[in-house]
Amino acid sequence: MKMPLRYNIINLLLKNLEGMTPKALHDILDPIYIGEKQCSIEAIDHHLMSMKGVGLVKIKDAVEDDNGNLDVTYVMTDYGATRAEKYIPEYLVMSVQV
Amino acid sequence: MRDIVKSSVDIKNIKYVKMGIVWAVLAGLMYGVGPTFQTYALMQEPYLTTASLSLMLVPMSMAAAQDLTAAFMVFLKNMKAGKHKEYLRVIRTKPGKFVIIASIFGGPVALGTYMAAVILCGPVYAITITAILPVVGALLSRIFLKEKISSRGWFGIAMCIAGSALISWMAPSAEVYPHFYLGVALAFVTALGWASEAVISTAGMDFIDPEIAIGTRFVISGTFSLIALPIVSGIGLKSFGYFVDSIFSMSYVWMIGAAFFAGFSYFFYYKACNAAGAARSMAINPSYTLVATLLGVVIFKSTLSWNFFVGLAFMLIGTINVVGKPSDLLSLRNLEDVE
Repeated sequence: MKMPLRYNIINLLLKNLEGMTPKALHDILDPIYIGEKQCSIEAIDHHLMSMKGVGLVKIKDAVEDDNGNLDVTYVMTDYGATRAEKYIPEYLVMSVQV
Repeated sequence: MRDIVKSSVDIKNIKYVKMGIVWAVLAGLMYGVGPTFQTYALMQEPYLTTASLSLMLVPMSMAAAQDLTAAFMVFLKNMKAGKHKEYLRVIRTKPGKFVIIASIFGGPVALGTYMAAVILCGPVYAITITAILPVVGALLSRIFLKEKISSRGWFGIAMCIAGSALISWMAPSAEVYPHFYLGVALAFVTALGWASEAVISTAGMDFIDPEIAIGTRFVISGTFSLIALPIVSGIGLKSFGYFVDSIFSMSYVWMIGAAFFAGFSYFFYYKACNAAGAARSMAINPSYTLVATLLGVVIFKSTLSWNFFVGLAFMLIGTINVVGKPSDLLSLRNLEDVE
């Protein structure tokens, strides 16, 4: 069985310390959650904003594209990494797909 | 990051936390509609007849019917959003267990004691005592979630409680409650149960989508209420027969309405706890007393007295202070406390 979508987002952010944008996360997660409407760029962005509010992730950088859309790069905080290791350690594995 | 981009990021984030406040208000207002549907359900058979069989048979049947129906409605909503497969994925994980424990606190513990309190000490005292929920919730949120609560926030919480108590207050009737103090004690357990539910589920929602958390919550609380029915009602397995009868009756049509409002009230409440913080969402939630009172006036022709208007003013001032500046909500927790 696949892991919940948000766990995979956390997993990817822990492995990519330089940070990731919702689009970059979507490019990796879309083939895993194939056919699941919940795995859209908008929904992933929503997960990230929710995790930002509670301090699990923070914004590292943001740029605006030619159409005025924001492309925000998120990174895991130390607090987020500690909590993830405490509560979902079995999901923090090398393979994202588990 | 360029200033103009930083400003756009701030606008986006503030819009998100403002949505959290809107969800909290919506949750409170929707919760106030449910009791009207429950009242109509109680006026129908088989609830009218079975009410005399056992003190807790009808309340527990209603709790099980409402939560299981709400579970189905929220599941349909999640299925439409393509999230239904997440139920089984999260339930076997540690944060999923948090949601299960929260469901037990919010369902059988809080709802069960609340219904018993209404019967043992009367609705006036039961509602008024359970209105302390925001204070219990704020304390638990401060201790366990490290949520930031300013002195202005505490003032707002106190005003919300006073407002809610004033709106729902009526002079006690001459009815005799032989187990009055047991009812009062149970009403305190209710407040503790609901506050614990919000805090524990909010901790779980750091890792779980709130819409999946609330879907799971209703499945668990509805199932537990149904399992508890033969024991709590005191009439054994016969209670299941009465439960099935109620499902195939007009009373259940009204319960579908109650489940819709309770279900989506909690749907928004869980999203609000995650986006705006558990303490703030709990403080705004007692606005349900306002809607319930207004519906009482419109539908049941009850009259409004001075305490309604004073309570309303208290509640509005309290809510404004609880919400504070949206920019203060960008970071809900004092991370220095935990790092």
